[in-house]
This record gives sequence, structure tokens and C-alpha cells, in this order.
Amino acid sequence: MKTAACLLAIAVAAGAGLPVHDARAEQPGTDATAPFLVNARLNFRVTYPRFLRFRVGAASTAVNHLVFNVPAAGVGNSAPVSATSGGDAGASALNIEVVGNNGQVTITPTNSSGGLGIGTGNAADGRIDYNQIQTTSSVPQLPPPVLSNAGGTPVQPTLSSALVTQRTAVWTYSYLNQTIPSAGTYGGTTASRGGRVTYTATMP
Amino acid sequence: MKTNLKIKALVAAVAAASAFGGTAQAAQGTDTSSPYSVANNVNLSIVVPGFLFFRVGAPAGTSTLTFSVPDTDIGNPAVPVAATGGDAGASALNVEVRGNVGQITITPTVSSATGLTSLTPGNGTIDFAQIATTSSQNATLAAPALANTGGSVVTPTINGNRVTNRTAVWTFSYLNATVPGEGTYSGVATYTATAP
Repeated sequence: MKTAACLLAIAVAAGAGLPVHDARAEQPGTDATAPFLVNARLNFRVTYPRFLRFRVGAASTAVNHLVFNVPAAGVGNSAPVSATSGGDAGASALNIEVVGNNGQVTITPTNSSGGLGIGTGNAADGRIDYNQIQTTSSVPQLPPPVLSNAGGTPVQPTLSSALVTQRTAVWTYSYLNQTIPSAGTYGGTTASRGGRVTYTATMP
Repeated sequence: MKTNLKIKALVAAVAAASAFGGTAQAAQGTDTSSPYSVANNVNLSIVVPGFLFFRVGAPAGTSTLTFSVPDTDIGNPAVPVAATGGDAGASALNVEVRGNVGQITITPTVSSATGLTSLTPGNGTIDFAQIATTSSQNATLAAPALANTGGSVVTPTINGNRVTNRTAVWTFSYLNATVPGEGTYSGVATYTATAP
């Protein structure tokens, strides 16, 4: 009778950059006396590198562009306005995903307005403050930053385990419509008009 | 390892193609080297249409102010006469003007160049100038002075940029400086707000 037993050892590398070894078996052995027994042990090592993945909107290199069309009869009436296009989770919402494995992730918002708010490109029109853009999250563990002209408040997604964050949510945007701006189109894809928000995720 | 390098190369390429900042411009990205940082952008547009809103008196319909002159003080300018029919007190009207396309102008016109008219033959008329109007916000939303030719034009003070958002109460009184023939005199003043 021949018996073969494998002892498996799975080691998760604690640090990135460690070499990834192939599974390695012991040299074959031979037992010529009863009771016959040959052990062939096989060690496994799986290396997980450190990484941080962050998605805001479409799962591509495209940048989402949310467009809020304020109704003429309701300019400044404090009735929030949803975006009519631009989201990937509904017209006014974006899919968010943050995954990392080396500690607390922090998401910090900045914008292209230089602290002034969103403009039309014509200084005489004035600006719309970023506090007029409200964001809500579908998941409490992945809250959205509150935007402001200065950028906004950083948020920290809740860790899923000791060092790992794996969270998804939908962030929904609305224009609060609490002021009367000059007529015009504010923001857009021209960054100098101040309408570009950059969310930066960092991890230790 | 190769996959990570490819991703970083993509991120770098996208960043270089943008006019904004030095961070990645994509909607998603992965970083596999310290310090770990992934930056994603969202563009926002807010389209604000031009509009002009103007209210004088009740939100709907035409307000009618009725001045009843006491028979003991007819033609006594020391006793101006208040009206009934206002929506901000008996003799006063709420006024609102809002717009976002530039300076607003309010121009009055009247229904007759000879003044308020009576249905009684031979009574003559009462000049519209006998109707005085004061504003609770005279500095920012003055009331036009009425005249048989229409009246004075007023320009509410702009709040900022091209935006006007003003409210006031205009109070009307009959100056009672003449002695018209007995009867009921009627007229219509139309206030028209315009913006560029």
C-alpha cells in the first residue's frame, strides 16, 4: 500500500515586493519496506501586494460630467435640482468603489476653482459656491466629502478589517438652488471655470 | 508586476494629457506603490437660465385700491386718504422683483393721459399725480411717481453681478388736494419691469 500525504502551507506575505515563488515539492522518495509510506510535501506561498484602487463614476478613463439644468421658473427657490445627465448610476449619481489593503484610506476633495467657486468664464457673472452642490451616499461606511470652495472635508471609509478597506456606494449629487446666480452656464469641462472636482484617495 | 506597471503608465499618460493638475484624470485608477494615492475627477455644470419675475400686489389677478374721501374733508390736502384693497395692509401692496440678466427698469403707464375718469358726465378727471406712492425700501426698490403721462422710471438696485432680488411694500394714498365733482373715478396704472 502506498500513501501520499501533502502538507500545505500558505503564507501571506506581509510586505509588497517579496518574490513570488512557485509551488515547490520535495524530492521524490522511495520506501521499499512494508508498511510502505512516502511523504511528499508541497509548500504554497501566495503574495498579496499592497494596493489602492479607487473609482468615482464610470469604470473607465472617462471623466463623468454632471449637468444640472435649473428650471427658469424656479431659479433660487431652494428646490434642489438633480443632474439631468452625466452619472453612471442614474443621471445624477456615480458609482464609487474604494479597495485597499494597507490601512485607513482617506478621500480628500479639491477643485479647480482656486477657492472661488464655479464660474462661467465671465467675471461679471459671479460664481456659484460649492456649498450649493450636495452629495449623499447610499452606504454610511463610504460617506461623500462635503464640497466647499476650498475643497471640502476629507472622509475616511470604514475599514472592512484590520488593514483592508473594500467599500462600494452610490453618491448622489444635487444642486441646492438656494441663490440666484446670473444667467449662464457654470463650470463644465473647462477646468479654469472651476467646475472640476478631484477626489484623491490616499493610504499609508 | 507588469500589470501594475501598465496601470501606472496609463495613469501617467492620462494625467499628462489634461490641462489640470498633475494627478490622474480618470474616473478610476489603481496605485500599487507607496505613497498610495489615486485621484479621480468629476466635472460639474450648472445651467442657469435668464429670467425676470415681477409682482405688484396679490400674486394673482389685479389689485384694486379704493380711496373713499370723507365728505367732511374733500379737497383738504392735510388729510390724505388711505385706500382699501391692498395685500400688505389696506392701502399697500407687496412688490417683488427678481432677475439675473442685468439692470431692471420699472416703468409706469396709465390708462388715460387726462387722469382718472368718472362715469358721470361733466365731472372732469383727477390727475394721477394725486396718487402718491411711498416705498418701504426706497433706497433699493423705490416706487415710481405716477403722472398722467405715466410717471417716473425707477431702477431697483442690483444685488450683485447681474442679479436683482428685491422686495418692498408700496403704500398708496390719495393726496386730496383738489375738489373734483362728486362721483367715482377710475384708472389703471400698469407697472412694467424690463431687463436687458
